[in-house]
Amino acid sequence: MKNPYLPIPVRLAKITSENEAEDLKTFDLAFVDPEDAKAFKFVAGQFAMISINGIGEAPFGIASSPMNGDILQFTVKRYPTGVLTTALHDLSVDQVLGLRGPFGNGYPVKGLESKNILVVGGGFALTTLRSLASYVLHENNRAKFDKFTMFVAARNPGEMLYKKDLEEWSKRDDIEIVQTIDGPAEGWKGKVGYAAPVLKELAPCAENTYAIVCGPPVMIKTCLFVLFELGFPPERIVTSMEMKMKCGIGKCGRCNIGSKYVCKDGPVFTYKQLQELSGEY
Amino acid sequence: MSIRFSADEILEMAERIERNGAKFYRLAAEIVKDPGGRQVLLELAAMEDRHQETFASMRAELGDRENEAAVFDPDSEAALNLGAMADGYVFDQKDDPSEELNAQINSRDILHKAIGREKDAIVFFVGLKNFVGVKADKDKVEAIIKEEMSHITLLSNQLARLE
Repeated sequence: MKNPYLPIPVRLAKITSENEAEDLKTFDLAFVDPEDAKAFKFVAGQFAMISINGIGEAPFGIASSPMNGDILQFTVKRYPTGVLTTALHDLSVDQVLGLRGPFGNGYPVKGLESKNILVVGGGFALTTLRSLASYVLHENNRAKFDKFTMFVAARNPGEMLYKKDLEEWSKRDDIEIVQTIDGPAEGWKGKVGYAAPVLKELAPCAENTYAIVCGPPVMIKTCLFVLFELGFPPERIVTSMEMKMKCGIGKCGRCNIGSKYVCKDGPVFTYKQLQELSGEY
Repeated sequence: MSIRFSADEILEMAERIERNGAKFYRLAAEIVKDPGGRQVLLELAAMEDRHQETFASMRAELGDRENEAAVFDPDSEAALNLGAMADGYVFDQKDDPSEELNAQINSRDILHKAIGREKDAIVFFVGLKNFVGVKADKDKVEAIIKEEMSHITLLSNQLARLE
């Protein structure tokens, strides 16, 4: 039996800076042991615990496509007081880290089949949504889903994540992408305004549509309010919760919301499930 | 991470809506020709100013737990997002008062419209109540709704005096 507390060694294969502030980077991790690569299967929405020996361990959503398991990608923001995130950002290519996972339940991709999908993402919470989009848009999968819309918000053009992906996807005729930034910027051709009012203006149709919402908490709650007004029922609004996690496998009890563990029963929940949970979330 | 609104956040939006209302009524007072109508609009603006102060007091009374930010927010992104959201309800900042209130509008019609706005505010806060988790915060939203209902009573009494 595999020990879930033992990290798998992964090599830092590539580092990509995602924003002008250079505090948001995507780390490409390659499995040191090819057998680990073969065994590591995940679904969009799941996360892994990344560790640096002597520094610490933390959970991060998997940003890469589940259809490509050779390299795992994680986009991580460096926090001024973050010990692990700072250490991660200071790493060089070829250094070895530890990885445990995949953990969590992932997005309900089976339940999304034959449905319209509205992705509402903001800031660096776009990571697992990018994984979902990559999965949906893959040639093996696209036909299973109906209309696919991505609504993406960022503070300014420099903070917009995954620009290359969004640009490539925009050229396709089987996805609609709407981008918005908080305030006007020279050369910006997308929408201007905070996420909730722009989403309200767009007024996406709720019929047969799932809304997958990830972003900063204030963006999630203001957009949830708008989605409710547009007629999205709570069972068709899906979000990914963030909680402080330690073990990642539902043993330490650190991440519970009521009777559920975010690491094991989540982090993906429908809003209906969250409404049924007690306590604050 | 909390994706539920706190009492502080809802009161912040309530204050913003009252501020937007005062601005709307003052702009409208510049459009309306009828002196009686203009007077009503200026009184409505003053009323919104007082309502804003009421919500500011309610906010000041909140305890530390209710007031503390749930996440690291050095650029006050939360306040900006909440303000942007509030700007789209009751007194939508995209609305031009001159499109709604023509120069010939009379006091009775103005009061009818103001009552309509207060009802919109109630609908907004009733909707927000579904997004509040803690009972203490729900009670605060109830207090806001009751306050807005008292505004309707005030305006209805004013309308009755005209009729």
